Amino acid sequence: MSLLEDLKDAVIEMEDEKTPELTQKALDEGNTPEAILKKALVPAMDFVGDQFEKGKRYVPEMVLSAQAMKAAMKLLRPLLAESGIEPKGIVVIGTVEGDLHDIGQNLVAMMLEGAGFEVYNSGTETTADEFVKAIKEHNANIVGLSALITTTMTHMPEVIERIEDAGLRDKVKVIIGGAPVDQDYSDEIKADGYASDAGSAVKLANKLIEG
Amino acid sequence: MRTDRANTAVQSTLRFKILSEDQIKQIHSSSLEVLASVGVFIDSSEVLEILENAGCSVNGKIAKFPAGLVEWAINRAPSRFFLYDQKGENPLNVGGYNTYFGMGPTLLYMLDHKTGERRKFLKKDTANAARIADALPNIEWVMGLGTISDVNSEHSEIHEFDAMVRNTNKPLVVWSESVRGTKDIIKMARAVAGGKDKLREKPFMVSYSEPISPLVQNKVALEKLLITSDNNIPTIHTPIPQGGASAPATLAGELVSINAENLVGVVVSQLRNPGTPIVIGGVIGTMDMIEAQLAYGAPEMQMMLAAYMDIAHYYEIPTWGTGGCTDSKIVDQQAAMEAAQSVLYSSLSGANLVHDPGYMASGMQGSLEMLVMVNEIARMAKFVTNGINVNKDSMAIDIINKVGPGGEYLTKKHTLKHFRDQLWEPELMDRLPRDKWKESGSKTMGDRIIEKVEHILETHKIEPLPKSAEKVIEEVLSEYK
Ligand code: B1M
Repeated sequence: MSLLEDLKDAVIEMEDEKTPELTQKALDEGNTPEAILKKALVPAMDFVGDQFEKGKRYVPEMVLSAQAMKAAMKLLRPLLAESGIEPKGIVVIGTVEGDLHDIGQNLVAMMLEGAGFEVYNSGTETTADEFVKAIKEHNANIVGLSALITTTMTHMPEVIERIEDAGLRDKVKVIIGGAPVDQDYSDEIKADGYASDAGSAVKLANKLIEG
Repeated sequence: MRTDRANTAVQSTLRFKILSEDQIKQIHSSSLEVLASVGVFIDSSEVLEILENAGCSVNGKIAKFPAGLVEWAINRAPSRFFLYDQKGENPLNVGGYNTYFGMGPTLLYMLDHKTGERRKFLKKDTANAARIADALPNIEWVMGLGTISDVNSEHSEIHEFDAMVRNTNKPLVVWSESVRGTKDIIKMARAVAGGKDKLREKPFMVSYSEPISPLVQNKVALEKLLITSDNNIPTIHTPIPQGGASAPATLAGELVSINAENLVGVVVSQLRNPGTPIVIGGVIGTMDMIEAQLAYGAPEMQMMLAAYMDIAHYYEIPTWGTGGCTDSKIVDQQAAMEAAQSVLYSSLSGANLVHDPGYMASGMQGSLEMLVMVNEIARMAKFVTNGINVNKDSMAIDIINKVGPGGEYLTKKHTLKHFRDQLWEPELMDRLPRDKWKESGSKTMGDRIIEKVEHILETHKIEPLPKSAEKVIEEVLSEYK
């Protein structure tokens, strides 16, 4: 079996302790970072994602594969950047001001990473200003807002407004999620979309960057 | 511990234990190890100071707890407290193996019993739920059930208190997302009780707050804990972990972790005001690993809760259980199965204040029908936990001998004397002969439950609040426009 296939298997088998080493070997053998990404990592995550959709893999298996991929990406990302290859999308994600529920949004962040997005997780209680700052800092093109309570979801329009004020609204797509929000609310606050779970968040993000 | 007196006839009631005493001690000592070695993130400088003064080592916001301090607090915490109704009568003895069911907090939606549709939670839903509970003998205390959406939602807890006290006289469990709200609820509660001293002497209210799993105590929750401890208001300070996500996936590991979280509440409350009642327990959940949902009807949850009740009984600290809830979206077979299982587990393991009857869809939606159904299930469970009274009269040897082979019991005074209190009488369960059942409309359990909901809402009356209490509540409400 080729090294790239080994790497693909290691991601599928959730072996995050192996993937950096295999990635390094693949580079040493002369594979381009792009080839490693496209021939090993992406197909591995496509396979895992498909299995998850079909209910053959469970949440921990999904996120551990994503972690194995992330460990490989740590090596590849700077090299990809050097050769001018942009990540598929750069996401800033966080729970809005006042909200401490982070289990769901962490899961969404991990799944997005697994799907090849570069993700900056700003954690709980992220204010509108902090979102704007993070978007600028990381040059994000997607911002993900999570809220689990009716009293905190009202900060979502505030974040969108602040993004507009900063002149960034054309640059970033806003996606929202969490227990009390839905598509209607997304329409109401003029977000770019709502996702009800982590899997749909990935689909939505993919759709939005494809335009 | 059993506190049977010498020279009295002891009646053994039905209880179960999940853990042996050795296992309880193992989990206890492991929790102490976690508290001493990794410690807890405490997001309150005031609490950190209290802990440091008491001998905890504090580094940044991490506090590590000496085992001796934790065990001091466990012993200092009262084994029970008496929770009165709003008139200061009929106390619930919250401790030991006494089980009392009530509702849960802050659901987003209501399953409308008239339309069968899910809709946003309204103030009238809290009012109706409180009135239903008031009429149901086995729903023995009241919580607001949902977050009221037709008022400014930032102040929903104030409206929730208003809706509850106007619709039930039963004890209340209250919550607030802010320190201000907590203080105002205390103010209103004092007015309802007839003064500060009355509320202290005969509390009708318990406060609810939550740490964050794993091993984090957030600021607002801690500040609320301090205020309620200062005021001797019994306080539930319990986590909502999800095994595999915010707690270990092994059931024993989850117990170690959540016990540590619970014990922080015990230590803080007892340091602040030794002897103030503190309640431990939680929603000891697991994450459904296919859908990433907290499963409220899971047997793992029932097992862990029952096991945690064993630990709490070992500590002799009152408990907050979880039961009478379901992951189903409608009041169907699944809802009945999950509610029945959890009500029986809670009762057999002696959970004290059992919350979440009426909870559906992973803690998202409420239902009046569920409350009525749980009332009936709890009646059955209570009958079971009462056990069998074995004494000379109940063994009925005289009457057995008198009736002899081939006789009958229907005409005997012994039967007349005992059948009412010895036999369980169904209220909602159907035992009609088939023809009668058909004649009376072939009703399902669901139909009968809805009839009962409507009957209570139409007929059950509540005494109005005293004018003085009303005035204070109006004043507080007007400050929250
Ligand atoms: C950017 O794009 C996207 C796209 C999709 C996105 C997304 C972003 N974010 C989420 N998604 C989606 O994808 C995820 C993965 O599939 C999903 O994420 P979820 O987060 O939904 O799913 C998780 C994987 C599993 N689900 C969860 O983890 C949440 C479960 C429930 C039970 C819950 C928990 C566990 C907790 N809570 Co809280 N809590 C509840 C929750 C009820 C529920 N069923 O939602 C809810 C949300 N809580 C509530 C409340 C009120 C509160 N909680 C509080 C605290 C807590 C705990 C700390 C105990 C704990 C959180 C621990 C933590 N680290 O996150 C308090 C507030 C704290 C604060 N300021 O934030 C407190 C105020 C306490 C109280 N009950 O009084 C209720 C909100 C009601 C309302 N009206 O809004 C609540 C519905 C439960 C209830 N009935 O009381 C999707 O929503």
